[in-house]
Amino acid sequence: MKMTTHANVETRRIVYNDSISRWFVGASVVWGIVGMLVGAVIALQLAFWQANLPPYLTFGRLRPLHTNAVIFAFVGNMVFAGVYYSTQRLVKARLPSDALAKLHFWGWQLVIVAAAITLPLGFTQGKEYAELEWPIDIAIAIVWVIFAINFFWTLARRTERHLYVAIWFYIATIITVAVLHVVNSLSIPVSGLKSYSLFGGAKDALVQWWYGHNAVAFFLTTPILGIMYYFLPKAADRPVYSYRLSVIHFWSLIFVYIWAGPHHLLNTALPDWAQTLGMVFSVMLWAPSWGGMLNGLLTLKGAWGQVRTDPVLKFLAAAVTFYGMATFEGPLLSIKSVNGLAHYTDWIIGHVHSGALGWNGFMAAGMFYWMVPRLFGTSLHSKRLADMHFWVSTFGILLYVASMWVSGITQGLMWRSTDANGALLYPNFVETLNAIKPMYWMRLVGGTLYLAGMIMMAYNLARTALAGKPVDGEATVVVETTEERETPWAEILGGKPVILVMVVSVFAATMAVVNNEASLVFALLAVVTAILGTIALHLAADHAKPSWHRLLEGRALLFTSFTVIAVLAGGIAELVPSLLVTPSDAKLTADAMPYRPLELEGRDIYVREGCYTCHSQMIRTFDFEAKRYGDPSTMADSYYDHPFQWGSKRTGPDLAREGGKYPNLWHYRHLLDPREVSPGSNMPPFAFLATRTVDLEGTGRKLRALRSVGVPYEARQIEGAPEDAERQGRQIAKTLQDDGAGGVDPRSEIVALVAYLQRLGKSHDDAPPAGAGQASLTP
Amino acid sequence: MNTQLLSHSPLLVLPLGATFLFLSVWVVAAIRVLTRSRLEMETAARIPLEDDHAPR
Repeated sequence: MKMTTHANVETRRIVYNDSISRWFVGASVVWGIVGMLVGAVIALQLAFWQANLPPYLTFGRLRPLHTNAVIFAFVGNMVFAGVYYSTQRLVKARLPSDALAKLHFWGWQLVIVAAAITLPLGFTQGKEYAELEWPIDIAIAIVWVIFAINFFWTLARRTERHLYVAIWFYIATIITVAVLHVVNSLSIPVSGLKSYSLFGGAKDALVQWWYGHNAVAFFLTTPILGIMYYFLPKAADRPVYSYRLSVIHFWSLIFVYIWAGPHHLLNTALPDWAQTLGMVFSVMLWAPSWGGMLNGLLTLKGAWGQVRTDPVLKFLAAAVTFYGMATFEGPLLSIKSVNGLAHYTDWIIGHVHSGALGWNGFMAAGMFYWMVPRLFGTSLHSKRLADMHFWVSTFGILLYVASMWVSGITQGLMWRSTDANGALLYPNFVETLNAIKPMYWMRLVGGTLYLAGMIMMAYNLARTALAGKPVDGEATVVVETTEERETPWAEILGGKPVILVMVVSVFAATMAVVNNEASLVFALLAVVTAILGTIALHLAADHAKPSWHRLLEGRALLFTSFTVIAVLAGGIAELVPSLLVTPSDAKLTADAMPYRPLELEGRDIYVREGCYTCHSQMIRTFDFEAKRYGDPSTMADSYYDHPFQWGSKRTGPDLAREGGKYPNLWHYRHLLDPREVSPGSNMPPFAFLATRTVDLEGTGRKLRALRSVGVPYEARQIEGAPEDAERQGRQIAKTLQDDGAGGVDPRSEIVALVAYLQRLGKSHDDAPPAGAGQASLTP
Repeated sequence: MNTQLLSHSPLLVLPLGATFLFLSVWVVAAIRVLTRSRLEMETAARIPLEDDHAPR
């Protein structure tokens, strides 16, 4: 914070760069409609398999397009619009570089277009919400850095010393998303649009869900909370209910959120301590989340009459309410026993959409209805249409979420139902799928209603924009022009609260490494020091001077450093031990061998087709799962899997121990026409795989890349990869022909995929022979 | 007690230590924030309301 030593001041007129916000609003609305349209299409594909149009427009390829479009294109552009608009006003400074802002905008749109082209073409890393291939990942990082430079440069030029709480959330977003994106995207390129994750198996799973969950936290939550803390008080024309609560809300949320990722991997092969950690922090997360929600809702105290008539407040109030619902449901679903029922079912899909449609979508709508009239110097084209948008969308969300609750709980209960003898009541997976088909149609209706609301909004905003003309906001600020003394870093870093926390931390750390008796003493010391120290700090405080935290709020760089520490503390403590797991820790046996070349090619096809969007490869530690799928999965099972393919949803059965369950012919016919061997299935047909051939020229390169990330391929295996693949292909093709499949090309993609499926859950030495099983073809 | 707790995995030290660190930081921050002056808080809370007011 700067201290004024003389009373010399001058008045300045600032004209904000609002054109960048106008562009981002437009992009968000357009991409939002596209992303939700794709969402409606994939909802239809689940209910009506004929809506799949192989090879490019199947569920497995479109689902990543839907999630990426909605998260990064719709919400991303909305966040940039809101951040640029509010930051300039909160720090009373124009963006320092219009050129960087334009680069940011066009760079981000280019990334989105690249995603829209590459994902349907099957270029994917096979990790949820991080599917984009390595060149696009690099482009994302560059664009993000451009955004960060422009943002922090604006803070550096600010004329308002205090950083308002919304800015804190933006800082946390920019820093954390950068860390998450870089770590989770680490991969070894094989070619221009193909790479393998640096991490494998359980390590990859942990890194991915550390990223995946925190994409929700720091891309879909913290920036939106910042937007809430700016736009809700603006729209209600009253300050936030409790600024105190907002400070506690911020620090609690960013510290706790970063730990919660493993709740996506409960009851799996992930080390138990990491699971417990994820569960405990997820439950703790409920408190700061609801602190933020209550702060938002209580800001409307005395303004509820306006909520009834003002569509902006209506959307914002409903958004905050949905945030409260979603953040209550999240911790609930993170409790191991509840998760045992809900995981892999549509309940999770319902949970995600109550957050995405209710929280993100409604915050976006409220913000757009507030901003666009101001950005174009006019009033909203139609309040009635905005009202209609609100009610149609609310009804759509309720239909969507309710249908997914019913579907998820129904299927979860059916999976675990057993008779008096302990046998599964519904051993055929398709039975459980057919029971929820009506819910898939209801979900489609709900989603379509929401999409209709988006189109109404697009029309309303377009008419509003056309009725006005672009207007850039202006402000007059009083700027101190005298020499100022900044509070030295040391004064803040060596502040009494920091010293107190350090002392308590030392006691806490000592407690963890000493024996029982001593640990009790140190625990007591830590608690007593914390309490007495806090009281002493309060009594010794000079209320005439700004508090320590107040000083911190005036130093953007230092504030950012503290944010980084808070975020990294969780990431490092959680990730590092797991990343150090060795083959012996994972109980990998000596005969465990990596995939043979053709199996690896088949695996790449599995990843390309997005099979992981419907099939898990993780048998959880439940008796009913073991009865259905086989022994629970272990860390060793997927140790060499780059990327891991544990999945997060079971529209089809788990495949972790699929190898040898059915003969090759079953898989062949199932891929050609799933309903021939599995009546009632909603899986798309993959007949085109029979006419495409695998390019074995590049197989050796793939093995070499995998060896560089720790998969133990020997030089002779790499050199002989094409020959080995051909040999295995011929064996499988022969058994297919012998069993009556007709002429089968041994180099076809379908043969490679069969090779991979037959390998799942099998070590190399006991992998089924090419003629695997002559069992019945019925599932 | 901690020997028993850590018997499953000594790595539990990390989350336990971090949880304790979080709780101590949180308690200090919460008390400090709750004891700050009302005027200081109100001034900060009004920042968003101080900028331009264009027509709607």
